[in-house]
Amino acid sequence: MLRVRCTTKPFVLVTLATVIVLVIGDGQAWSFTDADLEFFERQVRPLLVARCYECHGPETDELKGGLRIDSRAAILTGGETGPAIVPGDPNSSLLIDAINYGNVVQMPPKSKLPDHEIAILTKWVKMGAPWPQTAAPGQADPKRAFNLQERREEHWCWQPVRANDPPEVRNADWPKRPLDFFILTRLEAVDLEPAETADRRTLIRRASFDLIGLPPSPEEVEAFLHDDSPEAFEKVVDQLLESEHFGERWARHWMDLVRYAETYGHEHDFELPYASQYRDYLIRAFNQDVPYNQFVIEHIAGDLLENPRRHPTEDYNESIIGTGFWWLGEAAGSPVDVVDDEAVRVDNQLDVMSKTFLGLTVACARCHNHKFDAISTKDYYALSGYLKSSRRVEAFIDPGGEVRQATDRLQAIRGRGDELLRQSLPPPNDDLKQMMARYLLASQDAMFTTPTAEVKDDLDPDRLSRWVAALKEEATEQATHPLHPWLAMARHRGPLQPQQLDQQRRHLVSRAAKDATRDEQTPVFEKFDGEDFGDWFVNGEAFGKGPTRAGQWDSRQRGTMPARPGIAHSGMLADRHQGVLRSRDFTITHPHIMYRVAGTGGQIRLIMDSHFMVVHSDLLFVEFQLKVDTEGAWTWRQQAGDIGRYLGHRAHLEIIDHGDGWVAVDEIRLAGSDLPAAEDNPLARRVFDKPDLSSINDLAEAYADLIAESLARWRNSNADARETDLVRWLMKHELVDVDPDVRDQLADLATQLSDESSPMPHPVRVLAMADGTGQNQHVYIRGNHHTPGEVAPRQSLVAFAGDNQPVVKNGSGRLAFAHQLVNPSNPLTARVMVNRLWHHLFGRGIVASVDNFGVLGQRPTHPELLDHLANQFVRGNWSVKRMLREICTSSTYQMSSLPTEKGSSVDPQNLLLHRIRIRRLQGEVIRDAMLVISGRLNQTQFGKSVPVHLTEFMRGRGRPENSGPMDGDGRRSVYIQVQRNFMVPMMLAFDAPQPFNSIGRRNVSNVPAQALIMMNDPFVVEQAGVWAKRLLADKSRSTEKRIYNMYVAGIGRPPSDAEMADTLDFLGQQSRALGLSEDEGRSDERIWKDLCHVLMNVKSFIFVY
Amino acid sequence: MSHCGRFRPQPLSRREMLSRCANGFGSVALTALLAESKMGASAAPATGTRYPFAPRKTHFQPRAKRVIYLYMDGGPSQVDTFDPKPRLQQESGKPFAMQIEPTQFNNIGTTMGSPWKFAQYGKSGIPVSELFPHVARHVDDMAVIRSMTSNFSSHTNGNYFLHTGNGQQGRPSMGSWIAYGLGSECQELPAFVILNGGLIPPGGLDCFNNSFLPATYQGSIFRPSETPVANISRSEASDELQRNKLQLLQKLDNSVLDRVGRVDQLESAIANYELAYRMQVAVPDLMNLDDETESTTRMYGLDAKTKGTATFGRQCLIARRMVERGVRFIELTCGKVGHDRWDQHTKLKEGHWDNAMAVDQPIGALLTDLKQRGLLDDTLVIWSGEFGRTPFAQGSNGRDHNPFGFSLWMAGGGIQGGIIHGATDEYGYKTVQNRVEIHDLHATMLHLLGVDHTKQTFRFSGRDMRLTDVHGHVIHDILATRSLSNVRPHTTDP
Repeated sequence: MLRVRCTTKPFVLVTLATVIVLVIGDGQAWSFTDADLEFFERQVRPLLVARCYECHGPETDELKGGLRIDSRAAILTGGETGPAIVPGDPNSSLLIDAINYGNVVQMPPKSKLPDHEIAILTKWVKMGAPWPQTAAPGQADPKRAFNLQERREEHWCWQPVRANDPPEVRNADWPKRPLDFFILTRLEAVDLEPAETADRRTLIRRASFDLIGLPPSPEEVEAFLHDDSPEAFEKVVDQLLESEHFGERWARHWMDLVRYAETYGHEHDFELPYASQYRDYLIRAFNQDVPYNQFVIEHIAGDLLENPRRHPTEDYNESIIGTGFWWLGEAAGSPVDVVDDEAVRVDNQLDVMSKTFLGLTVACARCHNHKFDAISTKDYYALSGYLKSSRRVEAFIDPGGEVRQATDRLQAIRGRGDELLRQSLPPPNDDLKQMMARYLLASQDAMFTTPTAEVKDDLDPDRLSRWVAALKEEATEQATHPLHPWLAMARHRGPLQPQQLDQQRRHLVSRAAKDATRDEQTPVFEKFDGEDFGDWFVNGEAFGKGPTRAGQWDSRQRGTMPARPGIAHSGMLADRHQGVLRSRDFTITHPHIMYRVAGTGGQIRLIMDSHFMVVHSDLLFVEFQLKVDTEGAWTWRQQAGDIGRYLGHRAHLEIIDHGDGWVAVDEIRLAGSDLPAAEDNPLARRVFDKPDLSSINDLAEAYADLIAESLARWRNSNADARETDLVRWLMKHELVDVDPDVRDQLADLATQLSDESSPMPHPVRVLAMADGTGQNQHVYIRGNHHTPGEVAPRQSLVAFAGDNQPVVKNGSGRLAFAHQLVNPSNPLTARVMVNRLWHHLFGRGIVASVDNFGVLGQRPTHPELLDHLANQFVRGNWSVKRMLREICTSSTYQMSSLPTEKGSSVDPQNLLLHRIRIRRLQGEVIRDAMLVISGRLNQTQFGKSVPVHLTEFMRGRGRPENSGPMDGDGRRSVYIQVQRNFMVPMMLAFDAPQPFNSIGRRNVSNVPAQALIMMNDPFVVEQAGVWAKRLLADKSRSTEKRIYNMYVAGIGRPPSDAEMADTLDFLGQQSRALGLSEDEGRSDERIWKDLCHVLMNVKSFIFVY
Repeated sequence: MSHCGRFRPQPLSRREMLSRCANGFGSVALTALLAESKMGASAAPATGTRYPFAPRKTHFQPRAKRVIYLYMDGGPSQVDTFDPKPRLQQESGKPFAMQIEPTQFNNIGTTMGSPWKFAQYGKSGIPVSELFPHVARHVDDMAVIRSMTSNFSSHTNGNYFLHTGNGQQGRPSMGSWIAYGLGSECQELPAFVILNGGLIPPGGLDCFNNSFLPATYQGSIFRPSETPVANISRSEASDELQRNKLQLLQKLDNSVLDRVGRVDQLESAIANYELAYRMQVAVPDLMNLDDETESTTRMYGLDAKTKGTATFGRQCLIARRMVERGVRFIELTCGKVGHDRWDQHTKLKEGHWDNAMAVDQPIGALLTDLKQRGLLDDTLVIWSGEFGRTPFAQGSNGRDHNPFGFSLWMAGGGIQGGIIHGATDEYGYKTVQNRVEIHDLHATMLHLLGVDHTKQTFRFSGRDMRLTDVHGHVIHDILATRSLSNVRPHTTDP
């Protein structure tokens, strides 16, 4: 039942004679009789009151959708989605669509109106929406306006980073670094003393886990204990910062922010390709201490840098790999609403981007202006425009530049071939024309009249037979071959009849007309007849600098043959080349797309609304992908399938060569159904259009002219495809003379091409972003793509960059946006990053809500310190390592964690940082520490991930066929595959985040599953065994010494006397339980394994303090 | 004394085990644990709280203390189960008369009448099809909602939406929210358990994830196998060997406390071992059905010949045992019956029949058993899929996904029995009356548990997140009559 607040007021019916009420409102005057008005008052108004006023009436607190329907004017003005009705036209009226439960909204939301009520409202609209002329009821209070500037001024995070000098402190001896002053002054203000300095064993263990995520080795601990120099700890910190493991630790923190995973999750958990290269990029970047501003730019727009950062030894483009982070999100295989699917993906991309780099929750503004922060819905869609103008690509990187260099050499060889071939053809002159005409006539005789007739003296019989063979070839049977009409005419012996000529001409004209109709009905999308690829986007080396052009050597055929012009060809130089050609964005207007293609192992893909998952599932997207395998022949291929269901959608095409094959396209058309064959024969039309044709000899001469013209134009590189085909036909059948020397030289060049291309390496592919067609996004009102609103030109957040940002003219505009993010005037980028570093070192950020600096986030505990560090960070060239060093070598970082009574009462939550917080290690670190201590750690870095080990509890669709090794091959956890739907249970139990969103601060929970894992998980038990075996292998140690070493290695300190005694007792207990003598027990592997296992379970194993 | 088991005497051996453990390695921790369990906290528990399962204050007096969610993975057809449509039968084989929305497989056939007959049951006369003869006997305890809607046509989005209130991966499951909001009445079993029948729904285990809620509230998957829970069996050859280890561990941990201070985090991590140790005993005890009578196991269909009945029967019986032990949210998922769950894109007749035969008798038995033991009053039982199926055919003999109108039922725990709520159109395609959204289902479920869905929140990246997001209305029409003036704060602690 619908709950109705009844607000009907009594009304007086006009019962006088017909009254005409004139209403003007929708730009036209409607006149209503009193019968109309009576209908309204009796039937319509009560209905509106009963069904709609609860949400759209005069007393509604929060007007839904901004729509009021208590006056005609209000209804015509409408709400956020525009006018609610079009008087007189129910079919165009949103209100009528809504009550019929149409696509945009369904109203009333809980129950559809009974049919007769729908009929009343429909009739009412059809009548022009009669309504008595009264003063419009007062407008609802305008909503408290969203005032971006006000919000910006009111909240701390938007304010500029201030330069703060370290404050005064009483205890001037304590601070080691500027930051210590900021901490100390606050402690002194509440009369607290900072904790003592921690002991050295604790310090090195703390720093080691913090900086490289691994425990220190006993030798490192010893060295530190015995280093008397004042800078002993600084040395430790420096060594750790230089460790190759540093990057592995900090990459893992970063991976939490970019929801790193190697599968797409969702139903089938398909593989997300190349993710591990992004992970390796992170590890290298942190190890090399790439300045953070550079790092940010690479993430946002690394594909657009003019001088990308190169890999130091492999010399490939590193910067572009950063853009992979955009694409690490979840993805669905066969979305029913593909536009919505795209909107959800963009939401996630913007959410991750804005939280990660800015600590802002921009995605909250997708459906409405941000409820709290200075972010408008228009801001959200302005940022969406960057993504709409960009594409997911598999970019090619080229280690060592080998592909590029080989390509340069290949292109040079091909250039020489072009030159040679042009020179090789005889310059067309009268002799040539004459000869052509004579052979045409002679071959006509030979074919149709006297096959054995004697050959005229000056004609070469071999050449003549080549002519005959050429004319009998299948190609000339095609009506589009220039010589086809010649053959038709030549069958008629004797003088040419004018009507024969006319008939042929009419024939040719009607064929041309058919092609014109064909062009109209099947518009050409692309012909590739330009100098370059125009508005197509080129990726990789395969397609070269442009389509083939007249005057070029057909380097693919390797013979003595001109290339056909106007082909986008991925194999002109080498099959090993790979590349992708992407079209501009277009709107799907026809259900079929036709391609004239040739190739082997090529592909064509239609990417619609950025839905790239069609690679994995074509359900609902049948034929969006085409394989091109034509065995080299040219053919028309049709892409149809489901395309017709998506008319009006935005899409682009990809022509893909991802392997050792090739693909070539010379024409793309849009069609409503099958494409009729082309029939026009423009060259023949040119011949038959000549005046004064009266004999077959005239015709032969006209043809000879055509041949000579074609040859001449080809030599001048301005032949069209038909003319080139004619030249190719002549050359194929050796009807023109090519200098044999040139033939040899071309053969030599062909060998050179093969020699150069065969050792060329394959390019390496990485997941990346690339620019597409630049375009702005419409605001989706209430986040609903069915209700597009105003256009939001792409630009950065107004709160940073103001309202008058430069208009993006070319491409996506991402690069400018990236620069804007790291402009020191942006108050958030540096603050957010130093706060993250602080969070990881102290277990709590200065701003505890590390991913949200907005109004709903937490306020900084030490705002001046935050700004001080942010400034220092920028001044220090955005060096992460320098900042970490600054913090780690401070007195603050080196405090002990021991609680004191006073500290606990004055600062119970330790917000002032009067001591160090005890922290539980992350799941990855716990696992890595076990591997270190057992001796199993495999130090191999980088590369493909180790498949996840599957237990019987890990089930569901997409479960990999093969399980990885239980101990992950001993590799660090950062190298274990992150399979979205099959996350490692130990990691999940220890709060590793599900990769769906930015998680800068992990939960630290406490659950029995953690204890069960540490007690019973086969991996843990196995590592205890590996450790025990290693300990026992060294027979030289006494039992006590062995125990001593175990403690030092396992929990970072020697056992106390009591612990030693307890441990020895334990060995005895286990011996008795196993029925062994004490002596036997002391060398029994099972018992040592038990002891190792216990040590791994001691709380100091999984906590740092 | 810890009364984890709900009022039911436990076998002696288990008590022995417990007391031995209580006097063993962790008596200090156990004492603390018991003290803790009396504490209530209405606010969200802070991450790392020592005993996160402690029961918590509800917003108002709950009518249900726990939920059994019978999840019919794949989407059972409403028009073949609880929503008979004479017009569909009349027009069977003819072109479908209504406008058809985009579907998952886009393979539209003709109007398809149900192959099954409906009959009326109980005093209420609610019609149920031949697929559910056992369930049908309980209609007077059930509210059948015929106007469910979902926002998604694909399983994965639909599953995430049903389980987490959001169609994308990455939000906490409803069981996690309930565990988070209510805590547990049991200190030796997890608060949120999935009794897995062998199939994992599309979307995978993330349907049961805690997401941004602490891992404490993660759903624990109990598999239908010898070892139902990961790492529940001790790794040592004997209990003595394990206890020796745990004793040494306790000593070493105590010396850690001496050195580092009695920090809450460390103490709770130590206490965790206590709980883990007891779970090693409690879980096998839970799964061991030796103490059930033969008539009980027969009632649940443990001896049934039909495919899958014994498996689902065992799940239902264990669900009842969990209810007795105080587990807060128990979700049952389907097993294999040789077809693809309830997802009959083809061969509706065979597939729905086999799926129904696997679950009908066990569910009927569960309702009977709960009622007999007085447990149905405060146990909310919900039966649903993630969406329904199209009234027109997919191909010739299947049905495609239909989120626009489908049926579910709820029973016990404050639900008004014997009523039908909402309606679809004449073909059973779209909801036309009293539309109920998934958010409304969640709101109602929380309401019955004494929780105001708008107030149960968790701050995550700048938002107070809710199971119902910014939506959801309690469906008051299906609640058993009780004066609302009775509403007052109340703890769930018995």
